[in-house]
Amino acid sequence: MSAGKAVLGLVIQRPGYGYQLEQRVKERFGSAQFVASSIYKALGRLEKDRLIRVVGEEEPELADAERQRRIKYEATQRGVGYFREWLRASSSVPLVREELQLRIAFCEPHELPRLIEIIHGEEQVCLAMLNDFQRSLHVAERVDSRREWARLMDMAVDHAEAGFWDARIRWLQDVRIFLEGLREEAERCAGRPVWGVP
Amino acid sequence: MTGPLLSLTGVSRSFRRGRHELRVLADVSLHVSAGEIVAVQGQRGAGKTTLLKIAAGMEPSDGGRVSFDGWDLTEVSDVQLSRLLGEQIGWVQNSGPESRVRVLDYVALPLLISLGDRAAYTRAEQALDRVGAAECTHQRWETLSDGERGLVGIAHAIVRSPRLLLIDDVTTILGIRELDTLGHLLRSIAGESAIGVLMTVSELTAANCADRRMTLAGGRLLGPPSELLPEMPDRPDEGKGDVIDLSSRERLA
Repeated sequence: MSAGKAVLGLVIQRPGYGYQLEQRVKERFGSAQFVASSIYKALGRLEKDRLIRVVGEEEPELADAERQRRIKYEATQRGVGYFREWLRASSSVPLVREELQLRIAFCEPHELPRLIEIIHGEEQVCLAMLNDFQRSLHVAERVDSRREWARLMDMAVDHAEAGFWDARIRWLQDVRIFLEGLREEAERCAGRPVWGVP
Repeated sequence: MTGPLLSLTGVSRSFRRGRHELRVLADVSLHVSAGEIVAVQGQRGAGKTTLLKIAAGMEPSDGGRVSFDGWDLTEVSDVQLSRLLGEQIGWVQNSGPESRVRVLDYVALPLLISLGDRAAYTRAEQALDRVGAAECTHQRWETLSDGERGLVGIAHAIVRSPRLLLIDDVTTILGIRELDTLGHLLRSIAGESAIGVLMTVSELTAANCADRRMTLAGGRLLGPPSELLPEMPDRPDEGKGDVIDLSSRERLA
């Protein structure tokens, strides 16, 4: 997962001091195991790229890391535009799991249909990866006459590979069906506020 | 015959659940050719059994077309459908006979009326031998392991020499080695006898023998595009399902 995307998404949701953002990133995306230095590096890059900016007083006398802890950041228009564009982007290779989690975490209600399509596409990409993998196994079966022991070990490894894709696809199915349910709920409530969004 | 053995085109099916309508199949299209194994993965309640029943003409769809070997199953008479089901479509399900039934009797059962005892039992023994379950012949169903039940279920389905096998989630409880045995058996049956196989699985790990894998979730049937990954379309809808051209089918109503 990109620490930059995680920080930017959180700053867009709510401006915050560096130390608060460090805390929020760790709470929200714990499985990514970000270290503090990567979060502050990301803050520096985002500020340099004008995707976020400092709010209020600067503290120039402090060293970089300490300064970043003590100042408050907010997103720029450019940052919001960049982030929303990234949320909507397609991918023809499987997304890193955490990257997809990021897109889900920061999805706004009006972006739900696009997110569903992204996940739908992701299911297809994973299925294609598994199909390509299995096809290569069938080819190997025809040309390979290795010993039985080696075949059995390969069988276990192949099962693990298929299991990886299976788990991922089933997670995607669960998430998509959940999101499709939310979309249908929103459609039933057409014209009325839903999830606090008019 | 050329073209697919089994085709589903634009098939839809919904059920009412209280005030809501549950969409199980939405514009589903797939095809299975002779000698090909196609696996459809779906979680519990995804509509896998419904899909197979519609493919066999055993359950109506709300819309779309199902053809088997050129017959439009949505149009054929009950007599024709019954004959197709009896002779050409084998069904393997994850439930078996009453527990005390002897394996040989269970496998011979579909042929007892049409062939008589002697021929039916001979064919049943051959089918059990073909699937590698000859040692189960005189056992009762209740004494079989899960793997053996899978093999006997296939023997029961192939004893009538069908052209299409529909396998409903029989692999759920099998271990790695049993899955491998079953997979090799299905590949050998499909390859040597040119039988088309449509199997449903709860997990994709149970579909290692398939030529193609698809997934069914939220009513959508997904299959990977045949192109290599870098050429995949960005818009998922462009690769949805495998729609076939039925215009050249001669015997379609």
